[in-house]
Amino acid sequence: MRRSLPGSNRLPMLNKLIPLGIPLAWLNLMAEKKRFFVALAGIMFAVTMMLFQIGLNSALFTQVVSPHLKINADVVLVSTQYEYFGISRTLKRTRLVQARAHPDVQAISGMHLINLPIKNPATGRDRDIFILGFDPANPLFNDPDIQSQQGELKIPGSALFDVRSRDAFGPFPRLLETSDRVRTEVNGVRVDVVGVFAMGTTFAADGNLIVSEDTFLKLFPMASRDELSVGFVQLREGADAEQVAEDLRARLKDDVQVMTYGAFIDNEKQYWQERTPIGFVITASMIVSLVVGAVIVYQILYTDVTDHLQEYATLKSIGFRDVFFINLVLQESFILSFLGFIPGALLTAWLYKLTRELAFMPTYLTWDKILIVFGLTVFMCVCAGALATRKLRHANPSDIF
Amino acid sequence: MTKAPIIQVRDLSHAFTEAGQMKEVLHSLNLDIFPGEIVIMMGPSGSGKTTFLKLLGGLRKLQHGEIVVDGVSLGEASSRRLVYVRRKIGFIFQTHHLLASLNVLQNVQLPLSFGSRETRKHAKETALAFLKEVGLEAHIAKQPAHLSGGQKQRVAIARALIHQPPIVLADEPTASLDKKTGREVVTLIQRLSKQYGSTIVLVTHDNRILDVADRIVQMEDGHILSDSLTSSEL
Repeated sequence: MRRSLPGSNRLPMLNKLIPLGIPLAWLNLMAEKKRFFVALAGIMFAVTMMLFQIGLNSALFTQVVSPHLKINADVVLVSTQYEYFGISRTLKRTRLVQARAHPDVQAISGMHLINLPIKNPATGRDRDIFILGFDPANPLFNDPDIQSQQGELKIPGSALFDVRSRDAFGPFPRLLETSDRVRTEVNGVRVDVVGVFAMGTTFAADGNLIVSEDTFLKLFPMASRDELSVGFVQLREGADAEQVAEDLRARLKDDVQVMTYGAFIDNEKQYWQERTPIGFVITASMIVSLVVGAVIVYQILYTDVTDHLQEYATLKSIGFRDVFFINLVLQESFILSFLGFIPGALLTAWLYKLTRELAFMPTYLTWDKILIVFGLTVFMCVCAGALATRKLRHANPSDIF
Repeated sequence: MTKAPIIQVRDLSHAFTEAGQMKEVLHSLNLDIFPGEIVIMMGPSGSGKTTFLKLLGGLRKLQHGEIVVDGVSLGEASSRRLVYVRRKIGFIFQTHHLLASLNVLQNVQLPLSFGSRETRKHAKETALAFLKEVGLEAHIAKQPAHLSGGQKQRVAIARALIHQPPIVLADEPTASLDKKTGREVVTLIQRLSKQYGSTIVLVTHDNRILDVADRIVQMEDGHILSDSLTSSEL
């Protein structure tokens, strides 16, 4: 007298995965709520750490090209000795003028760069600021704030101050709220700060000041109008930057390096990635976060397996196969990774917002970061889960009873 | 008995290593158990009856001799085949080992997930029917922690019998129960096995439940001392 099996409404695979309608993994996790929330807290911590490190890494290397991103250019000319945006040998202005002869070139602009001490108007203390000098007659910058104020730079001794500079340079933005100019000194020369813009600090600069080429030469008399730090080339609509760069390389003397705007940005990021330990520190921190998270999840799942060992062994003895338990523990680890990821991502989004507001760093929770860290979280939890099933897989039911 | 045995044991010996020395705990046992029989294995502690039960259930690897369960030779069976043999067996242990995270109904329903053609709805209905059979229909939503020892054992019995195995192996199922509850549990096992035609091999110390047996096998020091039909069969 055997039971008859039903003839319809069959979902065998789903039944095998979720035989009770509610996943057994979920029921197991919820049976020990304290342990469950400790596991979630551990995963949330690991997720927050990983996401924040990735965000910081991405923001730092976006930040290093923040001046680049404010500049209109398609092709860039620098000295063959150029290292990064700040320190380089100069190139002859003649090379930039020669580049102008290319039929696809629409405009050229030169830029002078130097670090010079600026006096804090509140404390009188000097601190080096990064100075960008250009011809305000040219539309070199794409930033609307700079564009709208660059006419004022034509007045000798005028300057625009970066509001994202470190506070140590002085309260220029606050003082400009009550006055149309703030007088200070750069390299001992009188300068009037007449406006502000937002650019941000880099590894090379704690603050930025934009001046005209004429003012630049007054502030730093050793510089020459004929020698530029960087030359920027703007092309006509539809021109191929790669091709123009190639042409210029062929035409210009080999004392100049020609690169596309994209290569110019990549060069800057690569320089700082290679020259600073930041990339290594961030990667190491992420690995540590991953390991800490994995250890927490492993501990939780291992304890869960150990606590249920006799029950699982009983099920094994009545015909449940190892794959059932592996599936169960992996389901638990996936649930933990998913539920731990959500609060971790939300917490990181809040930390990103704080970082943007307090440190002016471009930290944003993007889909690529979410997918990378979610992938790592699932990997971390599944590895921990797979390790936790070892004890069970090797358990012989006969040894348990 | 004219039927073919459902369990055949031939020249079964088994040994454990103890302090570096092999100690034989079963010595050349021979036994036939027939379909529908209730066989009680009696004997003092250390007589080898639990080891014998584990070997019958395919929980331990055979060392010497042969056991054939429902036509499958356990000595020659692959581990995958052993899993399918276990699915023909309902195990009832001294301690019930119910899953604490599941309620009574879910614990009983779970083994039905073996059946590749089983639906969840039907599994639930079957589990409810079995829980009614064991008198626990009023407790289906309770967690095991909220049940008495006897109730837990009845849930374990329902779980062991829900897929109506042709063979039920029970290891001291009354050991942790009081006299009255122990009697109820054994009567229940007897009733359900008769109802579903299962063969029962029950290991016990408990003399008070011998009356349910069709056969009593007395073991001592790894030997079968006696194998006799009870008065009810005579």
